[in-house]
Amino acid sequence: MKLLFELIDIAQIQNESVNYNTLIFKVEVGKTIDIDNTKNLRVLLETLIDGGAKKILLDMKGLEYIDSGGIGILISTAKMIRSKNGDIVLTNVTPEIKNIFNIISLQDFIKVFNLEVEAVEFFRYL
Amino acid sequence: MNFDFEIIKLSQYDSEDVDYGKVIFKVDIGDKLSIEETKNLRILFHTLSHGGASKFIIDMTNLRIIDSTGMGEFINFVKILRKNNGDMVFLGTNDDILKIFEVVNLQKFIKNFASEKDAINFFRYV
Repeated sequence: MKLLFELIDIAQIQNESVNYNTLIFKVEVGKTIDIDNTKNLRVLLETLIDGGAKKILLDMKGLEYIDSGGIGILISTAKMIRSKNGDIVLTNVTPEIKNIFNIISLQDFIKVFNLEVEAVEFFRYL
Repeated sequence: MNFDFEIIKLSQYDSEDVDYGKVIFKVDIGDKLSIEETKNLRILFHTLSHGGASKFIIDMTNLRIIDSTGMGEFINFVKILRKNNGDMVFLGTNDDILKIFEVVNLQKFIKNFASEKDAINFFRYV
């Protein structure tokens, strides 16, 4: 499973030290989140969070399929990052995937934004 | 700037806890590594290593430009990893970039492998 990764810095002033309050880790999840690659996504997200990441944006742009294991990873990651006063949000969720989320009301637990700029604005005030 | 990520497991057996001794983080750093990209790479390396990651394969297949900041970042990161019994290797570095490395003998400090299989086998014994 390949994950595309990007850093978004929302700091007004740049400095040398790493400030996780102003850094958003954006991960593009690819086409499927299923039993074959859920564990890899979990390893990456947990390592980032344990390493200090407090703001994670999951871009679901190309996502065509997610199974219950994948949804479980989203929920457990949200719990983990919130225990450290951070948060995780989703963007670019297709209508088909949103329908799956609606069944379990996932969007009430994890914020879903249509646009990345909205997600970045949310993180400014976190 | 985007980085492509992949997680490679050295063990067939999965457990709930992540064993970083058996997980390799493979990062495709793209075609250019100059001062701007290096800053983001430093944050990524810092976060992952603080989260427990100790084995890295840096996919240099597409790299065409690297400056002294980029090389310096690799050297700093390898020193940190090796202090904690980890390591980092290059994969698929092209001849033009290797010539730059030879000027500072970087190829003697950080191993370069032509194939992913060889890089993974190296990590089996680290």
